[in-house]
Amino acid sequence: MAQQAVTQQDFEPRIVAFLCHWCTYTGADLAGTTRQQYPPNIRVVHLMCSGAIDVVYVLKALMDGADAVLIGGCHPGDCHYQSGNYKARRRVAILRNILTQFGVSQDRVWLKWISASEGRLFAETINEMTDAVREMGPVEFKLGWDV
Amino acid sequence: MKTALLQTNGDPNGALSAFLAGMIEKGIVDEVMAPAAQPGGSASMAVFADVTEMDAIIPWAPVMPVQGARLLSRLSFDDPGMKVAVVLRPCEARAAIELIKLKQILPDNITFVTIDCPGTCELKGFEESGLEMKTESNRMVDQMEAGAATAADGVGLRTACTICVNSSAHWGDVQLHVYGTKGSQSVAIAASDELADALAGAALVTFDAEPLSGRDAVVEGVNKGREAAREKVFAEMTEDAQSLEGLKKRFSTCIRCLNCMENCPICYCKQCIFKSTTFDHPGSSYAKWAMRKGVQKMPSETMLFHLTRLNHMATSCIGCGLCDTACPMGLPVASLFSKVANGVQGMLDYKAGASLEDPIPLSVFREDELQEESGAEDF
Repeated sequence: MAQQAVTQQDFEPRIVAFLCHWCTYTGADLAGTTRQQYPPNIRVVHLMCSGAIDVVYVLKALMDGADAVLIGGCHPGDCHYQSGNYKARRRVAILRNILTQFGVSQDRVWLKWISASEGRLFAETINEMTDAVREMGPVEFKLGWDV
Repeated sequence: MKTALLQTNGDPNGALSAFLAGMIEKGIVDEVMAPAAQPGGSASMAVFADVTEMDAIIPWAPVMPVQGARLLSRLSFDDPGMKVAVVLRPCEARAAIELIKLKQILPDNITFVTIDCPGTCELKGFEESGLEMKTESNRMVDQMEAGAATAADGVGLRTACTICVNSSAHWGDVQLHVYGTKGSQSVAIAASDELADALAGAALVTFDAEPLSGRDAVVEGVNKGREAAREKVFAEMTEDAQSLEGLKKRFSTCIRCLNCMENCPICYCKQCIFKSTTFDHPGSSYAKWAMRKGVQKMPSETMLFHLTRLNHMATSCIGCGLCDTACPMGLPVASLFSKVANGVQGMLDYKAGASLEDPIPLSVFREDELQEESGAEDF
């Protein structure tokens, strides 16, 4: 039986999180081992660096089910590969600029700097993001089947 | 730069062809790449080594089916092994600048000959008009004495040309200045000092003229009119694309043929993900997606293709409009993409094709920038 269109009431945000190996992924691990609580709305994709993200993955996620995408990287100056996070920042800025020009909220794409020692910040971010996306509702791409 | 006047005797295209042939005969270059008449009323780039064939060259050809910079990248991706002079329109020159910076054109053995451009027509419309290409081209060049050239009634310039604010040669070893001079009598050649000495030494032209006094004013007038037209097209695109619904209306007939990408000078990737098998899904995937989403559009991922391509090329889009020309479905790819690219380049304070010195935005970064735009706070 095909799933019916999602109504606002039973809307449960689905967030795809691309996390860098050296900082945010390890930070997420720490959130787990220190038993921080955060909602189970994220699906994590483990990457070596936030700079390794191409927009095609972010867009594919947004067009095929994710209501928002989180990209997590090392704090500026802390990138394991020197400058991957700065490059990610340029790409994300371009993507958000373009999404906005097509009437898709730029807040569907979050870029956050979370280090390996910031398990608490990771949990807080997921809490904050889940609430914000719940507030925004389903991603604009879901409002018709014809994308 | 030094300036010379090239007498044209009613045929600026013929005069420039002869000048280019002279460059080969005098050993300044070995070959010339330029637009040439094709059977059936079209024109496309060709590389000439044989000077006796060079009267086919129409530098100001009123059609442009393929981007010259893309073809130049074929010729000079690595060292062509001899000296080649290449005739480029301003949009092709700007694309060439981007491709040099992207390491897709090795400029060492290339002599760039750039022209003030009258604009181009869609190939189909021009062919159907039955106009003789060289005569029509010379007529358009002659119009540029006083302002923008116009295409023949019922043919019309390509949309990208009607909103082009970069139609004057701004860069190049040899620049052909046509704005502000009567092209049927003479055009101005501005050449780098070194090349001017070589050209004068070979007795091809004499560099004793002053730069055209009226050119800047004419160019400014042309740009002013085009700027207004551009604002209008961009406003129309903003109106259409400000919601996904509008975008879907405009792009729903995309057949994902990838022609816009094939003809884009900036889409140079040899291993584009959209040419790979990544999106050749097994049939069960479509069936499952339909089950999950309720409906699955076919062909799938057309919007993903356009938005991804836009993200990849927006920083370097020079607005030549060849994506429009290539689209079999008549989608307004160029108008929309140049409007979006304009916004992106504005954010990054970068102007694609303006100079060789400004680095490609995705090749550099500043430590302190784009916090708000990226959504990532300071530290």
